[in-house]
Amino acid sequence: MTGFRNTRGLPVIATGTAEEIGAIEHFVVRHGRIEAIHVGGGRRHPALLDWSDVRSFGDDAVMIDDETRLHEASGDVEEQAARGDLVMLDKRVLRDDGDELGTVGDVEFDPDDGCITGLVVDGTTLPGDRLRGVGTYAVVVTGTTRS
Amino acid sequence: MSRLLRATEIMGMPVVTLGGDDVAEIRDVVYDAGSGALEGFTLNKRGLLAGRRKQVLTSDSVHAIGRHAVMISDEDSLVERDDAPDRVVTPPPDRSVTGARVVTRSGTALGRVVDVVVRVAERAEAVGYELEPDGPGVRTFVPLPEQISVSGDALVVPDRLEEFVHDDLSGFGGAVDGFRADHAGPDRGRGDTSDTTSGDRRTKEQLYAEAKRRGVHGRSTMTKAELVDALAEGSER
Repeated sequence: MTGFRNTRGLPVIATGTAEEIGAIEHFVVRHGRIEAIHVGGGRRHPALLDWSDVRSFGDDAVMIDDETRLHEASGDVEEQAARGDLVMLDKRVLRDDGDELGTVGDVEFDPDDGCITGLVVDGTTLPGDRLRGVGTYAVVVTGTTRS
Repeated sequence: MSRLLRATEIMGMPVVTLGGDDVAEIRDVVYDAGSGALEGFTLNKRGLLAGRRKQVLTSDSVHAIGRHAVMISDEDSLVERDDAPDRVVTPPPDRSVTGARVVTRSGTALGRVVDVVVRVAERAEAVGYELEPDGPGVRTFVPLPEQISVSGDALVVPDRLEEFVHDDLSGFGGAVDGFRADHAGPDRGRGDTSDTTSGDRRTKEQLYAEAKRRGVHGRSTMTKAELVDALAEGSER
């Protein structure tokens, strides 16, 4: 299972030049899937890489065509993401009824399509389809109410 | 499923969108003093010393009220004060009961109001008060009476309310339900003779005629109120 925790710092490599362009800083998640990867790792300006430009998400590296695939943040959501406001790891988790469940321990995803498959909250894994929103304050999950 | 929360627990809670952004926090809880129905919330901006937010949140735009946050679907759920109902924006001053003494009709002081208890279910409503005793003792909870007289410093409540005083919040929901079931019964335990008089639509002439028909003694010297009482007693026999 691939998770955010153990892919942090994975190198991003250009297939054409074999250059290491940067490393995974964190992920931008919207609508239940990874929308972009925030690439840092020694770069002067962290940049965003759209998931659609990922050629292969391997065990040891993320392969892309070349450095031009990286782009600056534009728009509110991307700028929030670039500032790190939307980082899911360690963020509080609120159920949509307003009860806090804990914090995000890890986020599991399918490296083939970027879909979120699970959310580890205080040791319990919630199915990925319960992810409702990722905001500046909290990760919101839907759920049958358990009191 | 329902849950009881103190108004002061809700005050200061973040208002969070389903997208996970905190857009405001609860400044005050506004409810209808008669029915207890939650009208909505006034808001503060997020953060220390951030001050009041211009928008308010009406109860029908609330997605959920939880232990840790008030959830809304998105920031558009907040309405400008100008577009919001007056009862949310400018609640009448007698709405503020905190600090008021609660005294039964026959004169027993139950304590001072320190908090309002809100029941959150499909809809939210204020269901009771948390009271602090005048002397030593524990805090208690009383159901929000349907009809009370309110002044700046006291609430006069029906005597029956004393039976429903509860000393812990967890069991208080049952006390509220018990109080309401009792309240909905045929004998509502309210109304004294002066209520009866003002509520009687018959004229004094009609009452006198009826008293004469039934042979009520002393009817010619009775006031209207006395005639009403005499006839009411007669009908019970």
